[in-house]
Amino acid sequence: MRNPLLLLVCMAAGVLCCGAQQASLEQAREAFQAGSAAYARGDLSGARRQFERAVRLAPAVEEGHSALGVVLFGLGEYRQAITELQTALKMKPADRTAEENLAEVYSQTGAPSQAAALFSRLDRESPLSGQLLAAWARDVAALGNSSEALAIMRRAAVADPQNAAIQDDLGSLYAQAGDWKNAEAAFRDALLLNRRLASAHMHLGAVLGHELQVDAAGEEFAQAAQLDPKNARVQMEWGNALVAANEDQQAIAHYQQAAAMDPDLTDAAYQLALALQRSGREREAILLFEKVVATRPQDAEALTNLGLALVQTGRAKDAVPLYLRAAALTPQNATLHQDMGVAYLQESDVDDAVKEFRAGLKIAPADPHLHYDLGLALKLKDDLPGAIAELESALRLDPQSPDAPYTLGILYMQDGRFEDAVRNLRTALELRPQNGDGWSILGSVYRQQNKYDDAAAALRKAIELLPAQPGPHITLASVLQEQGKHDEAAAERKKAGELTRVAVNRQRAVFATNAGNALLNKGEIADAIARYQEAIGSDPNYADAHRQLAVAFANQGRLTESAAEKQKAEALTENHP
Amino acid sequence: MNRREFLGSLSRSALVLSFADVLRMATPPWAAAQTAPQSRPGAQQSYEAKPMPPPPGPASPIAGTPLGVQFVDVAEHAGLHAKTIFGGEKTNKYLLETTGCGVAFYDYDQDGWLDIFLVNGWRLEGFAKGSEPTCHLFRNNHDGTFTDVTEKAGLARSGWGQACCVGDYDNDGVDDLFVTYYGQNVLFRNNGNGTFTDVTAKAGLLQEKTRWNSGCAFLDYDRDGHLDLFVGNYIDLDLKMAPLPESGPCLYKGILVACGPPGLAPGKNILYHNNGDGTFTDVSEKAGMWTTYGNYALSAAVADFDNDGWPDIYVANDSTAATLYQNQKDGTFRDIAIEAGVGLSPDGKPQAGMGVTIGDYNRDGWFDLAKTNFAGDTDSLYAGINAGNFEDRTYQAGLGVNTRYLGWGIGFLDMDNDGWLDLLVANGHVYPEVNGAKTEAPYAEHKYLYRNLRNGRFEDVSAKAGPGIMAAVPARGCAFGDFDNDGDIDVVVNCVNALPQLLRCDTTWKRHWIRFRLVGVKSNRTAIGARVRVTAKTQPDQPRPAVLMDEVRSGGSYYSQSDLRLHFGLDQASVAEVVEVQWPSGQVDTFRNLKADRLYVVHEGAKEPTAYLLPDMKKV
Repeated sequence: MRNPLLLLVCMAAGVLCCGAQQASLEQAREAFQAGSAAYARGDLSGARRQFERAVRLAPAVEEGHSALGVVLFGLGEYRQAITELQTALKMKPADRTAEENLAEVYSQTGAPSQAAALFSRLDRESPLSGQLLAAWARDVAALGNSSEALAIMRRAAVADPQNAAIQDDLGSLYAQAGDWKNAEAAFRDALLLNRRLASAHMHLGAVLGHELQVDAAGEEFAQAAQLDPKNARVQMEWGNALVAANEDQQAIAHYQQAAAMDPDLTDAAYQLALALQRSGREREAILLFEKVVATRPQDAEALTNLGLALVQTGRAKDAVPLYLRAAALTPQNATLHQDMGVAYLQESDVDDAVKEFRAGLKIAPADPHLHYDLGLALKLKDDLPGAIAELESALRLDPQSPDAPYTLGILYMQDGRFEDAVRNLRTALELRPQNGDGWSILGSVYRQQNKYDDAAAALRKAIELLPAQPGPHITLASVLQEQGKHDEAAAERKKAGELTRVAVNRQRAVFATNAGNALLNKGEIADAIARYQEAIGSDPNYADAHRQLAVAFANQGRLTESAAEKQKAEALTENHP
Repeated sequence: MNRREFLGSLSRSALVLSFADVLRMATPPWAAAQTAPQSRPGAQQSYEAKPMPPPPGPASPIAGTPLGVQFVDVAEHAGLHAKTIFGGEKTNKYLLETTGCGVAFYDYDQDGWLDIFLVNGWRLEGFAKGSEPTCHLFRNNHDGTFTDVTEKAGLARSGWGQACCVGDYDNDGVDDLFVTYYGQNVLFRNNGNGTFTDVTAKAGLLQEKTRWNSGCAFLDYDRDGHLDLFVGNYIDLDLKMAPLPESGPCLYKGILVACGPPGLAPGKNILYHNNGDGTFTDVSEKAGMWTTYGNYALSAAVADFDNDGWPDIYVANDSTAATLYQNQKDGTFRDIAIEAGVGLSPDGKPQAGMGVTIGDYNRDGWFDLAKTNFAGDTDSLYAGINAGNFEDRTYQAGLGVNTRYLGWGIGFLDMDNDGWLDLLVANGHVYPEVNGAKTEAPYAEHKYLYRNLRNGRFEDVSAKAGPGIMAAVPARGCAFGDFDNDGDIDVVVNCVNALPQLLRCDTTWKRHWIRFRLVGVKSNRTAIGARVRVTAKTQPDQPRPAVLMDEVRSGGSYYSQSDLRLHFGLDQASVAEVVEVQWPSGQVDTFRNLKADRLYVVHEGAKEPTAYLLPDMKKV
């Protein structure tokens, strides 16, 4: 907002001197002078009181309304400011200063179309100053006309080349247009003009973050934070830059700072929720998403992400109503239908899942994920032909994804179509060679085809990737048996047996320990001890059983035995952290 | 877990549900529950299975031919009015309420007509005196109907009934009945006059603690001519200690369900040795019953899998590897399930076994095994390939197409008398709670019926086999036998909290068959373990006659006892060229040129069998 008060006061004084009610006018003039002085010292409340008095004393004087409008704007009393400025302009339509002020008020109060129209007219009448051009550019940008906004902002920068804020704004518009190079240049220019302009540091950081220059971005954000330590947006943008570099954990810390600084900054809460969700902390994310959704009930994306977080925590039932709200807002969002289908699947509601996947495919018929999901859902209904058709579509549409060929491989195997199974499993394993289960299944299929050499190779790969799984050893043993390698087969069986025995013994030990814990909680210590000893008998290396036995012994006052068991538990824990 | 990861895990479970996958879906581990009945057709939304062509492979000579067989539920007409009570009908607190009961096709009065014994159950809240559910014995009236003779027979026993099996433990010439319980098992001695006597205590079968006894089978494991007794044990369950669904919470697809069996202590299987004087001795530990990879035994079936003349025991275990107790011929057994290839899924993972059946479906002279598993998994088919070795042929045989339903009872049966064993699976979900959810599989489910295509493969013909197959019921045990003596195999099904099904086989085929009732002399009188090989030219253009085989078997399917008479479909053969009976004693009796379509009663060592015409058992 410009400061027209000195001019205004002089003019007002002239008008007042010529009025009929000399005394009142004199008082009004004095009030104007007092208001002007108050404004000059930054005392907006004092200025308001004086200007309101002046307007009461001389309501027909345009300059009084104009000055009051300016002060009210400064106080954030936008509606009243607009009223006063409009009153002034009714009295004196040619008051360009009032018009410029009104345009700025419109601009600042979220009425960009009114502001832009007024700026446009004023600019046609006489070119606007750099500052007003900048305000106009922001309004045009807010109206979605980026290229025109950029052109106006460029004029602003030319008109006021030393204005760092305008360079900063210019950079922002470049950034919005995706012109990162010019954006970075503009922000750097802004900082050349004013090294202490926190927003320019923040914006430059954001650009560098977008360019994945994480360290450089961090330096800019750090400077911005130092210059404007209470600005939550700096922390939020810093977080955004880290997210762009897949540094969610670091980003979370900055988002948390932003959210703490400004609990009303919904964007920060939302970004924090997303980062937490990506980091597997869905339950924390849900609380934040819920806040965001409460603030922005029409935000389909937030509703969707909240729904997804709920599904991730097994709460599909709660997610579905949110998805339905989001779908009402964005019915043509295929991903949303996919998410909803997944939620239904989690609820084991296969019919509704199929409906959603099909609805998604109507919108996005070439979406491989939707075809894949539909294929799975159909398989759950034992509709093998339908499932295979969908999965084949998924594979055709996204040949680089190992999911569809892997699942197809299993389906063809189940259908006894081993050639097709092998072809698909091999494709899947070329795309994801670390899939131990895949190698195991491929080996099993080769085994069933009597292709023993191929089977053995695949199974050995599975064993390499899944060393603790007995299954591949078992299948390999049967292959070696068929190859006449009886000793090797026996060795594989022995390994499998040992792995199975270890697993079974551990399972027994866990069960017995759990039973012992229940007895201990009921105070049946002797029975609990028996269970713990049974657990240790099954698996002497199960630390929990020793630990709990120590507790039970201690409860019986058998402290020496307790200490011994505790020591064993600690030793086992150290050896098998 | 992001959306894709969730779907990834889902894909695995949707395709091949391993134990680990089940655990992942139900946290903590899954459990079971069962409920109520809605047993009649139409109570559940039925799913129309999409037919799939049989898997590729050798051409089937019967591909595309009419099925010619319909199964019709005649239970109501037959007077099988006894509802099986078992646990809560809507929700279950404990796994104990879920497992249901077995059934026996059992000619207790030796009149040549199969009677039906239905095990019954209990509820946690108990019953007022006088209104307790009991087991039921239905006597065959020879006209398609039955009469409830439970009280008269002395079989009105209540409790958490589980399985039943039949055998003449005291070699007095009439088959006795053994019923397992969560609680004390009962040995009912058949008095031969239509009544039974509880001889449990006298026989030394009282148990000191409450056990969850499960599947049972009589067998003569030491071939001493006296029937011994195997009793599986499921969970060492103490209801006072057992977790409630909400205490886990124990979830299945987001639904609170009963907890277990993982997380609960497994039961220990029992082997009772028959002392030959009407008593038994528990030899479990000494005989190697407790050194197994898997546990949580449900059903058991006995056969000489390695053709060494000694009976072996196969046990379908829940959630862990199955057990194959190989008879070591010295009074002990060794679990060879894993090395024999019958313990795990094709990719080496434990499955949740429920029921088991034995037969030579590919006519290669080695017994094969089929086992039912949990929902989301296939049933299993293991083909015997040589002594002590099997191959998992589930997928090649075409059984991989169905993964949605949860199987319990199962049986090889030659439904169309073509000389090739077909396969029937009785399904029903374990958790009644699924009824309130939109899960892909309901609580009451139809059966799977697979026709043997004679090329190593099966075809799912469920939808073509009549309303008895497609009716949705919460099935558990089922038994196989010809209750109306019309020359084809019928099925009786025990359902939970529902009336039973009696699936009469109606066939349009005019094919031949032959049937044997064996009577041991040196061997146990029931001839359990005796093997019959029938050589016959089932097709006129066959280059070589077919050799069909089976053994007299106690127990099997899920908790059930099928007809002890051995039935063979002969298709076009009006004569069985050679019939060889290999008795447990080692005696081998051979008969030639036996006419088809007759029942032969064969006494061990007899020169000729006695032939009877059905249905009226008219001596020829």
